[in-house]
Amino acid sequence: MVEYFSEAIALLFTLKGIWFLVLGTGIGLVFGAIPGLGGTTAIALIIPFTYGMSAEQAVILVGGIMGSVAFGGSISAILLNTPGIAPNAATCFDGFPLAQQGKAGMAIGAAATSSSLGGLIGVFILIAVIPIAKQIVLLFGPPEFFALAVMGIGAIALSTGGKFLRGLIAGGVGMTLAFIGYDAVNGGVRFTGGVEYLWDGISLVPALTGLFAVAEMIKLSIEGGTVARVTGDVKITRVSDGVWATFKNFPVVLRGSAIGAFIGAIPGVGGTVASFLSYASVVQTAKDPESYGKGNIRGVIAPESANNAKDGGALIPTLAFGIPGSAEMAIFLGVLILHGLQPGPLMLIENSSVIFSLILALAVACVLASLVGLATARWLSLITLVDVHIVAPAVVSVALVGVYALHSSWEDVVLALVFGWLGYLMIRYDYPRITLVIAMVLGELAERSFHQSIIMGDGDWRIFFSRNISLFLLVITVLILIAPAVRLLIGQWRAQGETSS
Amino acid sequence: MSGRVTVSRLTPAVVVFASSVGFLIWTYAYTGRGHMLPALTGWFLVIMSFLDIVAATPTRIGAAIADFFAGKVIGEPKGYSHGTAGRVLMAAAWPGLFVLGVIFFGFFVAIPIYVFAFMLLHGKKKPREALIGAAATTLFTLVVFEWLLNYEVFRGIVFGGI
Repeated sequence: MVEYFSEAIALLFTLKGIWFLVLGTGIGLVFGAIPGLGGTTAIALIIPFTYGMSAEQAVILVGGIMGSVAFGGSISAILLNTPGIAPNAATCFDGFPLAQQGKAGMAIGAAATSSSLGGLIGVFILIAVIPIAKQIVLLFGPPEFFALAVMGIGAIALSTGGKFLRGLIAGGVGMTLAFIGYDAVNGGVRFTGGVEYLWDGISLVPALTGLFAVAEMIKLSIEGGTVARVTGDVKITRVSDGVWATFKNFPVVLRGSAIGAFIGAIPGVGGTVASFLSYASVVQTAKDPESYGKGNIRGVIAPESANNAKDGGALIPTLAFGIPGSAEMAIFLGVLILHGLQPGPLMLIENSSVIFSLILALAVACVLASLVGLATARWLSLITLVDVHIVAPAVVSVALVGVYALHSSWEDVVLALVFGWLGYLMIRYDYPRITLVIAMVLGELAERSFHQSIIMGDGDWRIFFSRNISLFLLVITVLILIAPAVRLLIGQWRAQGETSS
Repeated sequence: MSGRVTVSRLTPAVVVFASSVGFLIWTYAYTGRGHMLPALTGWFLVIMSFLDIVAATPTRIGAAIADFFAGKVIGEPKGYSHGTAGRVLMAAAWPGLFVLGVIFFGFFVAIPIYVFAFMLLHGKKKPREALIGAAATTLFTLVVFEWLLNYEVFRGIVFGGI
């Protein structure tokens, strides 16, 4: 392994290698920060430009993009409550309140450091797991995927605390939205109302842009003022506070990174689930859960560490089996094939220099992106002090152009608008958007896995309970669902005990 | 638990309940396996949204349900200023008008008009500031999307965009 790394270091630290890495990191930061674009678009756009490059140079460029896009997305999530990419949505919940309190610098500092550490931990996990990757991925079959999807929705609904009921309702609505379009089971289309555009289902990026960017701008333009709510002399706190806060909460980073790498390795689940689960886990285990959603720095650290660590995990099935874990990985697979490389077990032996170049590029890009972010955080933070009546139309315009650019479809723009209105209504009437989003992301996976499991079990639904991992995940789900009742009962018992004593 | 039914809490619950019933009926338009999970979700939504309606009523059972699902809010913070109905409608209408403008005239006509008009009329900015905002946003879109990324930004129905 040492010789592979030496080879990769020699390739990376050439003039061209450094140039491609810096270029990839820059592209990733910009594409991540502009709502509606993201890593998938960036890699897809860059493919034609890699024709003339060697395979190693191409993966260094792509590694730079993958390593930096998540942090780029956290910048707009923190400053504008608009996730640059879907996995940054969880960062909004505490990052934006911090920005409103005039602590945007601290939030960006924490996001940069946790992204960087998460990315590095993810890379270490990738290196450690590559030799045993096959056994791990094969443990998850359709029943486990279904159980994981259900658990994900339940966990997120629970993390909304007093909104548990409306969280579950929003989750149900998200599932219904996921059913729209082509029915992979029966072959027809469902719930499209005759609208041809909906045959492919609800496109996630326009929906997310609407729910977060457009909805937030509608809310801000009603309220007026600036994004940062602090009146008078607004002080942007030191970025170093965020860096120290991350190191002080290193267990949160470790847990988030482990969740990110693990979820990232499961095909089809992806970074959004990873960051939301990481967020949910930090809330559920906190002594002060009520402080989340109001500007708790751990609410930024947890999703951001998971967000970057997931890339290391997602590369495990992509490289080891040729199974892409996400759309971004699917496009990356295309880059590899374009350069004559066939992902799979043999690639680990025959093209080790490419793999280790990628791993190294990913690791360096995570750190490089964070350094650039830290260096510019103070200036970026000033965006929050601009009048919302200047920010709102600019963000709506750019976000909707980004939405259009994705598929060159004006219908996507209309969809983003509809979800923007829906998102505003959800804010106004206290329905958590988190569960709707997570259910939309997991809905397709849940249904596909459900039917595959039923087929596997010859129509017997007991298959979900006859497999250890699936059973374990379902038990966790039940515990999540009864958690409010248990809390209530414990509270009542304590109150009775105090009264009688 | 409040002792009275609040319209702001009950109205969305009733709307969601009605939509859930509608969705549940719709699921029965499909048969076989493609019907199973949507129907299950439909029933789940009907039950949950019904519980939400009951929780909003000043009854003992409503209070019990509200207590069961109670806890401290840790998601999106409360305390948003909702504004008057007119201001809410206007704020929601602006992006709608913008999208309408995009469909007919494309981004490069709709963006400067939208940004200028929004800043001037909704934001009460000076015409000079609104003009700078409109020009900067349009220029940013042109440089980033058309020149750097080589996207052809939508031109609108009137200019042959479709």
